[in-house]
Amino acid sequence: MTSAILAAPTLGQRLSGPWFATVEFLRLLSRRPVGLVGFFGIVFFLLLAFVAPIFVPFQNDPSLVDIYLTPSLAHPLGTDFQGKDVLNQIVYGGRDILTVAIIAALLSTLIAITFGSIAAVIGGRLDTAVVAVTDITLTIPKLILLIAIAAILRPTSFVFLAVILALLQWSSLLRQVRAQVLSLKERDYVEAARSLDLGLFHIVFREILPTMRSYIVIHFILSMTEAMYAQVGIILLGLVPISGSNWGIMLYFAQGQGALFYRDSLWYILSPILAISLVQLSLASFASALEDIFNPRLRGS
Amino acid sequence: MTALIELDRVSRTFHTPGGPITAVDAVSLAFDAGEAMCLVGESGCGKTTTGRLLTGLLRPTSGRLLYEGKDVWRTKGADLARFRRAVQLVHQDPYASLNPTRTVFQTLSAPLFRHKKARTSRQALASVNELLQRVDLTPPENFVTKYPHQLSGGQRQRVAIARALTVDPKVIVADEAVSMVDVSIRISLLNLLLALGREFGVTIVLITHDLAVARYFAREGRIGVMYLGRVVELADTESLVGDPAHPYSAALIGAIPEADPDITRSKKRVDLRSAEIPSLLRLPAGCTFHPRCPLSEAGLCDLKIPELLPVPTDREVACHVAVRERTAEQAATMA
Repeated sequence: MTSAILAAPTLGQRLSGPWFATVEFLRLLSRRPVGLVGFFGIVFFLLLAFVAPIFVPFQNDPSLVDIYLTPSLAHPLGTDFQGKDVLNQIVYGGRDILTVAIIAALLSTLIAITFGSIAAVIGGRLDTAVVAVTDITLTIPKLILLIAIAAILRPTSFVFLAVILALLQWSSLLRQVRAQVLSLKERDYVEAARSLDLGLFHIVFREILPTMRSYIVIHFILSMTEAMYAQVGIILLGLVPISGSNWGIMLYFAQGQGALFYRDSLWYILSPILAISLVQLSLASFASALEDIFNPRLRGS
Repeated sequence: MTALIELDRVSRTFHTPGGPITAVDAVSLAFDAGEAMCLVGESGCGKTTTGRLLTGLLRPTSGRLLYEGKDVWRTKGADLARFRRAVQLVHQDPYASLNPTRTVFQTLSAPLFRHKKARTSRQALASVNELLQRVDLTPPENFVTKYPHQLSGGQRQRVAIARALTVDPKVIVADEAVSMVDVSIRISLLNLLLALGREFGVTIVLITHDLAVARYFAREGRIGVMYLGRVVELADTESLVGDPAHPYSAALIGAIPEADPDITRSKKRVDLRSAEIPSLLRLPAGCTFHPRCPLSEAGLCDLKIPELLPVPTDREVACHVAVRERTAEQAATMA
């Protein structure tokens, strides 16, 4: 029975063409309102961060007469301590945050998959070494280590920050990938591939990992949320050079300029918080819906 | 003539929480090119382990695996890769032996590309079609784009056989390859394996618990009977089924149901002293079969491990009593 359940095809396998896979995916998603909202939330914020700046001119001129305005038609989200439009900053402030989150998630997933699967397949001393490094990384409190690294290295570019975040995030996925691969590599079809001399690369990337892809996608999304939190936290603490404009820097200035104490500044401090929370919420609800969709046992008929 | 592939006193011990288990104990078997042979035994007798040792997927604890006279576990690199391709395993469970995420074409074309038997997709498709036809999956166009879950058990098993054929093997070890498919298609699968063996001169080793299947499959070859990790009798199918020498083989053959009730009633049955198979963790001393054996002699069978010895005519048996009696009989007829 177990083998029948495990062998049951997941979403992508049941359908031949990518077009049908997409349609089927949207159909299953549409039955999960929370996931659907999350999906549209993600699309909205991606458009906001990467497409909207093309159409909206950047406004960076301080205006002393417009400080801490409440929302109006001219300034839908009010203005900040320099009289700059908050909505404009929200539009321009998403790109860096999301780029760093995506790069960090991508890198950490890549590290985890590569080393986790290679360690599991090859085994022996390599496996022991990888597991040891992973366990050590897992036991160190991440935020404190991140603060220490940021304080020492002073990341100047956002790509650099993304790399640091990635280096702190791979460990839990690696353990899970390794465990999965350890069980998958005992499957008969993997043994057949070994016997056919198809090579390590084929076995890992063609036979084993495709059966884990749902898992990897979900983890990727979740590690994006993690990277965002860590990133905003580290900006808020002022551990990266504050330049340009993003949601984290908005929060940093809002707090630094005492926005917490002015009633009129509510919109200024709340806007980036809302933007960050909504992105996180969208990612999390989309990920949980994906878990349902990819899991044939949880999927309703 | 040296055998194509040979197990030379091969043993394999597994370490379990309950203690070491010797699944295969000093087994020697030799297979000629193009031969169809069957290994028969109860579950837990080490036949699957023997199959995995034969394909080189498992390293023996002791003993040698010889392919074309060369010790496989001492060869390296290209020679080892050549051996791996020459010996293919067809698994028992066709639901687990095909990757659920890969289509029939992907499954069959990967080894073709890897071993440079096809360079373009067009060449690969032609070869895949040919392979599918060879395993009677016709018309092939209906199958190339299918995923395993869209196929029946028998069709999957045919795809698994086709996959083994992609690398032009010299030996195919079919481990219970027909026990998971419907009875109605067993015979056609067995015939397919036999036909492939004849057509391409491939040695086929069928591992099964079902002596009826073995008798059908190896009707022109040999059967090896295994019991608790040892080969107890090795003979031509004809003589083994007609006149089993080892009491365990006799018991197995007595247990084959016959379609004719008269034959069933008049059939010679062996009364085992116990139906219980001893635990592999605490194997009986001497001959492992002696606690169940009707011929067991105290002071001999419970002390000394019987060797697999040739007895007249044309077979090998591992049983003190059977060897003694058969040799005596032979001497009597000669005199």
